[in-house]
Amino acid sequence: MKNGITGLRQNNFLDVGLDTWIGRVDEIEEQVLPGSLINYQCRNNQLAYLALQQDDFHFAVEQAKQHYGADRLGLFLGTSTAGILSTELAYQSDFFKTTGILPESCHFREQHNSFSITEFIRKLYQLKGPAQVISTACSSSAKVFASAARYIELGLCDAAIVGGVDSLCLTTLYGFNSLELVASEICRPADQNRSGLSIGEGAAFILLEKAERVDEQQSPVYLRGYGESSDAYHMSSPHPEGRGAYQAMQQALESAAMDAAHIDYVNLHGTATPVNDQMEDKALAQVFSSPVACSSTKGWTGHTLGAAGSVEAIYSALCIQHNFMPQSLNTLTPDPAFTQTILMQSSLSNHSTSSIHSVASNSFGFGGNNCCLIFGDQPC
Amino acid sequence: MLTCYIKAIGITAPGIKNWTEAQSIFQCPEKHKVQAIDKKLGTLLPANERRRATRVTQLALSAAQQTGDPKELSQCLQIFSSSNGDLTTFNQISLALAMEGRPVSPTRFHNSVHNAPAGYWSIATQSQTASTSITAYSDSLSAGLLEAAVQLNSSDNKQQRDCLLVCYDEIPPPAFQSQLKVLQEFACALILSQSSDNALAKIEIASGSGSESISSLSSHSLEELRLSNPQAMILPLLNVIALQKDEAVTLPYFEQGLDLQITFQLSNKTCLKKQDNTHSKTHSS
Repeated sequence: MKNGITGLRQNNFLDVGLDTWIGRVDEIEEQVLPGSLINYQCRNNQLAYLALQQDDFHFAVEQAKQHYGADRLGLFLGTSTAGILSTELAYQSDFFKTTGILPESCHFREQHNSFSITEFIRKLYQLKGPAQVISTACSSSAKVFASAARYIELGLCDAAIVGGVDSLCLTTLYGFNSLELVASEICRPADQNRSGLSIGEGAAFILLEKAERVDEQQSPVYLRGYGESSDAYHMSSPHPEGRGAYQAMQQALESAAMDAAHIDYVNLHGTATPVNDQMEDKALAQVFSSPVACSSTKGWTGHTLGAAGSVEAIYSALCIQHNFMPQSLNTLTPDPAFTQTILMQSSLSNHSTSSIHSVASNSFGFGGNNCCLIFGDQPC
Repeated sequence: MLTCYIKAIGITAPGIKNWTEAQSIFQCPEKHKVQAIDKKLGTLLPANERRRATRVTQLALSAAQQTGDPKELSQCLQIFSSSNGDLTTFNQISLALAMEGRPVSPTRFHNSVHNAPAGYWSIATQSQTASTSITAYSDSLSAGLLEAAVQLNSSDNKQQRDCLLVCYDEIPPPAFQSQLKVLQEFACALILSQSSDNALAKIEIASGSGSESISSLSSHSLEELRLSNPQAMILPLLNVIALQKDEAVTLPYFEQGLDLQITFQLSNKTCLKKQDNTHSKTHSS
């Protein structure tokens, strides 16, 4: 990220004949799930498994299990399409076309159903706590933070694994294409000539614990606040003035007991569609009395849909820990109509004390479903 | 333990058109016959959205809109829970994807998201509150109930909003039926509140002691309905509320189950009984 290298490439996914760029993750296909969970083998769960092997996450989960107990560790994940690719491909097979029957290799519950990702991880780690999937399109895995925080607040669990997983599939590639929201060139968030999104895939997991248990040596990042709202406007277009986006940000600030002036950086939803980026700028202008530094990280990853909330929560945390603000990658000329400060260059401060204390991260989904998360280097 | 009050109930189920009908059926179960739900369900959707909304959205909304006046409902937090979402739409899209040129319909695509019913609901009621669509496969009913009780009781519910919970599942297309035994359509909606004013019942929710004690119904016809759809597992709870007897109910929720203690020691019990008998829609106001 610091070197400004995109993870996007020209589409080479299966036989998808769309002229577009995609954020495709390498090494997914090589992942083999543990033998007892082999029915869960599908692109989405393979991607999750790949992500779980990073950053000593397995170890952190085992430690949390030992400390809290398997029944006190919640599991709250977001996805929009889970492993539907397996069923989509089955529909393309001659066997299905002639019989109308799904082949035996299709495991609906373990691959296709939205809960499959949570059930897989619940079994993988032998967790017994509360568990659910939130599936609100592209805000899914932002909202899981709010849900988990409430469960912890009310004592239904002591800690939680939150996250999001979405993988490339035909429905989203052709579906967004049918809505004319997919760009043929690489996505250019906030650019004056932006023409749409690049679809990506991603998995992100975070262990959420109570603030009193943190180890200050590990530069913990705090979930300061969250806000959730509905546009009540249109199924697939955001409210043009950013009505719901504004409400989500405003609520997040209230929940964090913070003034907008204390937000150092906003990780935008920034899909690079003409309408989204414009309405988000308008919403920001209502929240921030002076322009705020902001950028979308979708120039690196593409739009990872239901995983975006958690993927970008991790970026937000990294911004705080590394005192880093990423540029709006692939943006050539910022839209002159925009009111906020689109970062055209990444900034990495040399100060020994962090100057990025608080970051807001936006996620907006179909159905007018909005969520804003605020992270900080200090607890509330 | 989480406490909440049930203010209103909506139900669209085979042989049960609304809460008033449900109450008389629970009091006299032999009246119940499993009959397919009407093909045409009246919804409060504006004409454009009504045309685009799929069956599962109409099913969910038909139960939701029974719980009160749309203006008041628009102030509620919104929780939608479904085990399987809209497989009918998935089937249509996947058939298109298997055709030459892969002509996916944009409307079908936006209908395919799990939160489509919730999105249509917020548009129909102009509700701008938080909206959460969840699933936990066969435990979705309890997961929805827990999420609703948690949102209701959380310190972030500063305005003490009530919560609308809508639980629904369609009958999946034939290709899925060998793996997914959902034999009937079912939708149920509850208004949950922190306040006991005009409440139908008080429920206290706690983690169960084992999944072997899941509540069932003695009536053959109602028990058949309970087993025909993951969301119909709510029927034992509705039965207790209809009969107004203090009782505990256990719903499926992973290994442990979810225990609900239902009580009726409410100051307004008598006046509520009258209201139930005279209104086609049961509602707090």
